[in-house]
Amino acid sequence: MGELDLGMVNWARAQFTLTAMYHWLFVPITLGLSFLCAFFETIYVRTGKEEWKRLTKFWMTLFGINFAIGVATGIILEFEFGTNWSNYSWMVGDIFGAPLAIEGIFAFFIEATFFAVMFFGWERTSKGFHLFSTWMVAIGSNLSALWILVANSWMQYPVGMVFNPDTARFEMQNIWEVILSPVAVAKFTHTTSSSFVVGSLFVIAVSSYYLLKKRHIDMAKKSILVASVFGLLSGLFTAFTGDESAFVNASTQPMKLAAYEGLYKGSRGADIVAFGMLTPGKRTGDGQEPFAFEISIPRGLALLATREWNGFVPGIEDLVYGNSAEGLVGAADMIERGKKAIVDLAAYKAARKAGDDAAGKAALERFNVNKDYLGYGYMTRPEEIVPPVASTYYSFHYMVYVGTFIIFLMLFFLKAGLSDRLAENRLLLRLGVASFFLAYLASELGWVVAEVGRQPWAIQDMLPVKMAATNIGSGHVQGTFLLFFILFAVLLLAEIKIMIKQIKIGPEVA
Amino acid sequence: MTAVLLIGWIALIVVSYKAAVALLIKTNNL
Repeated sequence: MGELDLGMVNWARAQFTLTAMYHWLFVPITLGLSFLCAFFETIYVRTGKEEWKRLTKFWMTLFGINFAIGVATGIILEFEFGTNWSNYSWMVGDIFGAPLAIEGIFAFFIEATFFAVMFFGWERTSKGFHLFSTWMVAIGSNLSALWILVANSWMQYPVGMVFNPDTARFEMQNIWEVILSPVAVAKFTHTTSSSFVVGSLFVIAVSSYYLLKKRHIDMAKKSILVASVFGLLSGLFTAFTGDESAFVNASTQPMKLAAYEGLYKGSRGADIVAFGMLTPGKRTGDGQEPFAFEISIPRGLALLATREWNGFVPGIEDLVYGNSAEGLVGAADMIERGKKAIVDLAAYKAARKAGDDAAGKAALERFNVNKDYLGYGYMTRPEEIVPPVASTYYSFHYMVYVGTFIIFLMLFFLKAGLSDRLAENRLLLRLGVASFFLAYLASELGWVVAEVGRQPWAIQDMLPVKMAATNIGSGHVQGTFLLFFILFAVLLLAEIKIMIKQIKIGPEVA
Repeated sequence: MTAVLLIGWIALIVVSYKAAVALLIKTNNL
């Protein structure tokens, strides 16, 4: 496996970034609004009041507009694994492909089937079956997210598999280890509950717009009351699962944790930086102070990462250069062992080809000693294992700040709703509209933390991104990048236009 | 923790619905 054209790798990265972040414009609303539609329709079926039916159909219309483009962009993402990341697909397709296939033939089929009933079955099916269909769309959407997040979690924490030296592929050994890995469970609960917050804020933003315009006042108040309860509880659950995700990161991806916390030098009882600006131009091992200024909470990071006041949290430089006092091996040693593994694997293949069983057996034994470091063998220097720190650090902190702010915002909306003072609190309503966009950005930046923080690995500690791409010229990807960019821009403008038009029409004729 | 997170996730949806209905009744908005 020779090294690939870095220009191609970066264009493939750019295309995946564009497609994934565009796809994620639609997913959080699908995950959150689907459950809110199920809540609204359940209330309609229980009360039999037409106003709840009208309200449900209105939010379902907006859900449908959003859903259509979300599906289309998700399909493009899956194809990119084949077109742009064929080395990746070759090496780990047996494992990575399984949850993606389950998502398609199981979860998405549930969504798609019941989506049709939900939209076109109001007059054709019984109330009970229609309600069941709406719940199945919500459950199916979230099950879709589960399988995709299981696949992503395996990239962050590869478990349940074994490397086959004969084919140079990773093969699945235990699917339950993959599905129930601590990273997968934390990621699924954190990602979906944060999407419930975004979905709730979407309902609050549109309803706030109506209250500011003094239209559909009763419907807007009802919607805000339900959405603020769901948003508040989901926001609190998101904070809880976010904390658990960081704790899991400490053992599975310590470099990512160090990057998003801006921790260069590890220590026992490490402080956590609540507010801080990184020193511009800071490089690993350059001796500069990591922060231009900072406000820290004593021992906060030790408590977060180890659940102990005096626990050791490794910093970026401990992981790169090693820390003998804490038993950490530096990256230079791992790179050396990785290079030996590459040589021994090549020797094993050559011996097999020549029919020399004795030499093959000896090479395989040598390979097995260092096989866990195979991915490191493709690194050229220890500092290469450090992800882009600034983008990871700032994305993480923005996400935490906005997540905390949204919890308080939900509380204020709930309080105003309970005391029937929503319509007169115009500042809160304006905040409700604006905060939707803040939360959207926080949701996108959560993925920046997850994916940029994993760099330079496609699969943590096993396969570097630079070895995962397809060996073609970058011109191929540049062309489709431009095509997707134009297509996405046109689709987004069309979607926003249709969405705004439908919101302006409102619930009467929806 | 796996069980806590997964049961918590289901409880989040059930409790959200029940709390929303209770508050709609309380505020005479149902």
